[in-house]
Amino acid sequence: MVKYILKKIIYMIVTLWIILTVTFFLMYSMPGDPTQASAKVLPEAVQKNLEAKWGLDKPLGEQYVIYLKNLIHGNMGESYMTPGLTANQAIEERFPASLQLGLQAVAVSLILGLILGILAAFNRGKWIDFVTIFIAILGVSIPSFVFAALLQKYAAGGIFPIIGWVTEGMGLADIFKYTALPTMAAAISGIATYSRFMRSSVLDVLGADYILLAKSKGCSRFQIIWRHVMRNAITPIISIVAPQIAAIVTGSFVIERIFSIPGLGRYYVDSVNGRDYPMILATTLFFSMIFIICMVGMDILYAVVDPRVRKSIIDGN
Amino acid sequence: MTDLNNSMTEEMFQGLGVDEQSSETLVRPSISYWQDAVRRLKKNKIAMLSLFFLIFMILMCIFAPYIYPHPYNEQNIAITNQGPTAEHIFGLDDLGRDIFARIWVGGRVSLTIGIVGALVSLVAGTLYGGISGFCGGIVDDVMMRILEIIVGIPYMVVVIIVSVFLGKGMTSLMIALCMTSWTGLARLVRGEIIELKESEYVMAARVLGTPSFRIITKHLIPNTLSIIIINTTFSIPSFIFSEAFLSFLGMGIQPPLTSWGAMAALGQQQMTYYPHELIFPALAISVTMLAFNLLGDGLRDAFDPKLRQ
Amino acid sequence: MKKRVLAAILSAVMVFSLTACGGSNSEQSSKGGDEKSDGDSAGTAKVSTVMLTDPDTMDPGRADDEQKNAIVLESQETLLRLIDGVLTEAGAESYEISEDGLVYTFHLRDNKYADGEEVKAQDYVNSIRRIFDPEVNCHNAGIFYCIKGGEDFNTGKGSKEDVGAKAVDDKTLEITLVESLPYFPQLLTFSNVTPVPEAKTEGEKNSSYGATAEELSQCGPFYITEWTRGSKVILKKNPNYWDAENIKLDEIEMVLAQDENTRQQLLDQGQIDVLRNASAEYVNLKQKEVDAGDIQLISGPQPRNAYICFNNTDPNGVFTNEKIRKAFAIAFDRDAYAEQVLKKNKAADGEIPPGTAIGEDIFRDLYEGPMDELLSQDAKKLLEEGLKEIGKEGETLEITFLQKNSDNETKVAAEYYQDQWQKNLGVKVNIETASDNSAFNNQVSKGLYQVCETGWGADYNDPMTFMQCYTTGDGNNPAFFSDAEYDELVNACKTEQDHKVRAEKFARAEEILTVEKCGISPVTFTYSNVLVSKNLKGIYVNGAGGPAIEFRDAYVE
Repeated sequence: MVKYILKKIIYMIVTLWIILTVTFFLMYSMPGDPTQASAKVLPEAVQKNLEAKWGLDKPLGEQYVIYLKNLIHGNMGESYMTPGLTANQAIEERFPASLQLGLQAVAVSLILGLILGILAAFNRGKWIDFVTIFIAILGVSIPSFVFAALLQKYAAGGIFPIIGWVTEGMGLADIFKYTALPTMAAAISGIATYSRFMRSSVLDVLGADYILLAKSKGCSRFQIIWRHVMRNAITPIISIVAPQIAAIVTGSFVIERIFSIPGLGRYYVDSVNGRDYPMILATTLFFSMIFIICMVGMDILYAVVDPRVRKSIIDGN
Repeated sequence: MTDLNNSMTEEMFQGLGVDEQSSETLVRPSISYWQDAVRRLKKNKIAMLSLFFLIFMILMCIFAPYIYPHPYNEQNIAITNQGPTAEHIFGLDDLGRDIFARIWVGGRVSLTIGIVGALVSLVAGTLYGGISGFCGGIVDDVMMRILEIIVGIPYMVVVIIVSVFLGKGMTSLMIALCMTSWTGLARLVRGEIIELKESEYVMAARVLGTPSFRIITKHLIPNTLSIIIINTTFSIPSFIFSEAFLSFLGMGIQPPLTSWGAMAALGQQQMTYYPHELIFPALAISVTMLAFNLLGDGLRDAFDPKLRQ
Repeated sequence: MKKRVLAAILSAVMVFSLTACGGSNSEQSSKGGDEKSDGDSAGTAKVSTVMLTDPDTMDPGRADDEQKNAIVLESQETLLRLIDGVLTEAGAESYEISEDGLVYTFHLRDNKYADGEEVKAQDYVNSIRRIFDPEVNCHNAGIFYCIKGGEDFNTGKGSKEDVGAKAVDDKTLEITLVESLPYFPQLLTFSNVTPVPEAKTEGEKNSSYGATAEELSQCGPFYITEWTRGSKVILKKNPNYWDAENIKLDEIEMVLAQDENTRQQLLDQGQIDVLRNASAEYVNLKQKEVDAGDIQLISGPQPRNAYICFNNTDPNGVFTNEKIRKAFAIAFDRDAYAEQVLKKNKAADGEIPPGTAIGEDIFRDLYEGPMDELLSQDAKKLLEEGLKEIGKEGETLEITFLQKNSDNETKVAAEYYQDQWQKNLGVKVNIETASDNSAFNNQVSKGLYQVCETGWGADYNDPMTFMQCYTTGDGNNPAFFSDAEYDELVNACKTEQDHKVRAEKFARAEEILTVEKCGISPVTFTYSNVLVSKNLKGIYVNGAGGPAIEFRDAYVE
């Protein structure tokens, strides 16, 4: 296991380095540059000043080397848009909101999605099956910005703030109030996806011989679902959830924008639009790292759920 | 009685011999896996209804713009945002263009992109994930790292660059759409294959000396089909919405052409005052999605080896 | 971190239970909207408003957009302040101008920062130096090149000591100009010219000042007590402000809401008191409440325009032709566009919007827009003549319209022009969409486009802010318009002291720009709607100079 983790860490560093390098050079070939991010054209002298200050006047290769050197020392640079704000600070500031929203959304969508999926599979062709299909179709074909706007309009009810986010020292009741609507908005597509996948894989499992055996042994319905169905039907869910956790905890631009949540997703988009190079690189690296960690987690989970898989993934064949 | 007994002579009984070949023949006419699937699909009323509905939608997208009296790009500036009337049954948009006409023109773009995109990522994702999961070891390691790199490079940056270097046509749009879309399915298929290849029947097939290719096509793929189908049907709306996003960045269709996603995005801004501008495109997307999903369910049942009788 | 995760899990469970209970609370929503949440009965007067964009820094030296100005100008004191549209002494008690108009002497009031420090003349000097400081990179530096030594320091040729701002003593500030701009006092309403003590901007802190709220020195009627980047800003009354006894609001909350629907919901549900840039449709919905006096509507012209920008140096050699430019300028209906498509603003008939002052007068009251005569000409005929001149007689002209990609509005605009030009001129119009604002600015500033729609908002309240852009070689001249007579007229207005003469020159220059040469063609003038809850009184809506909404004198009834 230690060897496995070590191997994964080395892989991660190499992968991150490749991602960084590609992103670095792609980023500089985007049209427009940081001195042109605002509508007002800066005097030429000011543009020159800025370029010198940010080192943009040096050859690209040299800039890359400088960036790598700084990175090794843990310095990811300072924002162009907000001088004085380092990339580390920005992520520290923005990530918690995205993380909390993401975890809540994943939790809600997993719980609801799995329950709906199992219910639908056990009641195949009955009304409850159609209700879940209906929910799933709505969830996936109504864009999240529409759903969020509808929630703000009809579900806020004067109780839930339309915008805003948790601040330091808030009580549990307030945390709930502030996070309820965005969590629902972020969870809806997950509910749709998980319920459909769960329904399908439960149906796959239900036909298996061991379920028949369990039934004939007189196992209770709950026991069958928990001990046999869940364990065997969960693999595809793991495959979907793991990368989705990465995507969702690093922030959803749409939800964060509509609910004014100070999260990382919106910050990343703002950085690209403002050509804030150090911030683009920092958020990209951070996102990729979380994604890779989730992928490793996914492989470990496969092994936990199905011990047969262990030898091919972890022990390395 | 005795007479009868006596008339039964030894000659009357002859050995037929054992026909090695025909002993293996089964009573039921042999139909292949695929034939059986088609047969079962045909018996599924809901799935067939969905199929016909989709064909109807496609035909409408092709022919309706030629028959309907109002062209999709005709602007009636005097009556912008008008609600549905007898003249314009789905109402008008913010430049006074007929929404009914635009739905069918937009459907051409959205359905093409949805179906082509889904098929491309279906093929790419299944192959990539299948190979990665089946080979395992170093192949799996390398392939998964490549996948991580593709997902890790910021999408928006890549899209902006693709639009600069490849121009802003349908080609660059399809490239931008399909660039990362297949990775989800690839991971899914890989996960399933990793699990399935350890199962008893695959082991049995291997022990019997079945070639890898046959194991993949006969055992592994059919058993992962259900999730592949769901993933594919579910990816269609995400293609439709991504197209809208990319159109916003200036890739893809040339105005005044439109698509369902772009219409929905525009309608969302106006939904408080002119709900018809959101409802009709959203309805078109949802109903099509419903049909795709029900058809997908039918396909899933038809192709499920465990349900084969 | 652990606590956060725990909280996340707990509230996830609660959200889950909420959905399990169904939409039981949706019934209350219709009632909840009518209740007002402002002003706790305890007597603290609090108002809420929205931020349309997310401010990236609170450094007054870097305040260069409407949103940052709206915050900085409440938390800082300018030398002069627009009070109900009138330029009034604020940070300065009085000021004198030397006879040649080059030296301004300001006598400062006894004012204090929120932390109790005294405001000194040197603090103003520091901020004026920082405008030109290459380390700070103030985007408005160009506007202040009229201050002696500013341009040199900014371009690296001079030092900060040579900048023409000097503290005679703690309470006397002297500013020396290169040329005597008649509108110079208007520039003193900029947030860039608000005091920052030197100690706060020494060394490293020079460029990083303003990244957090804690380090700010604030001497305005209010001061920022809380700033959550990407979410909200809270301002409280500054007890040390020189006029604190007349400041009636205790707290201003500014929440970020970038989505129009969200902003309307906030107002509907009583979570904000002021909504600016309200869309015409929304105002129509609210009209009944406005008529009944349940909500106040303040609408009026804003010094901002939108125009068709022709590339006068068109690489394809089309819009280099005056007649073709005119044909495209004429061939669409401005009134229908403003009323039916945008459903806001008004059709433009000149470059300078109503609401722009020149001296004591409003420019548009003195001179009407010059474009009517041009717009009555035959576009098709002009196009044919123009095509002949560029040697493309009889050909179907194909041009590309560059669409700015910021919102749906620009998309609708592009498709409107496309349709109108194709229909009325028989040309083929392609639409090219810029991926984002940076890409658009890049393309336009390099002249790599044929025609686009863009706009200009006043930096200060004088026609110069609009007219200077189109002088030859100006950085903000996206049309690359160049005309000797125009340059001469506009430059003369910089030093001409008589506003009557200036107005005449501007009117002539405007005619050259929009009619005779048709370098650009204005389309609309901006009109804005601000909705204000019925109890909130005494707020001013500013166009150029001053915060967009001034809360200094506001009070809750």
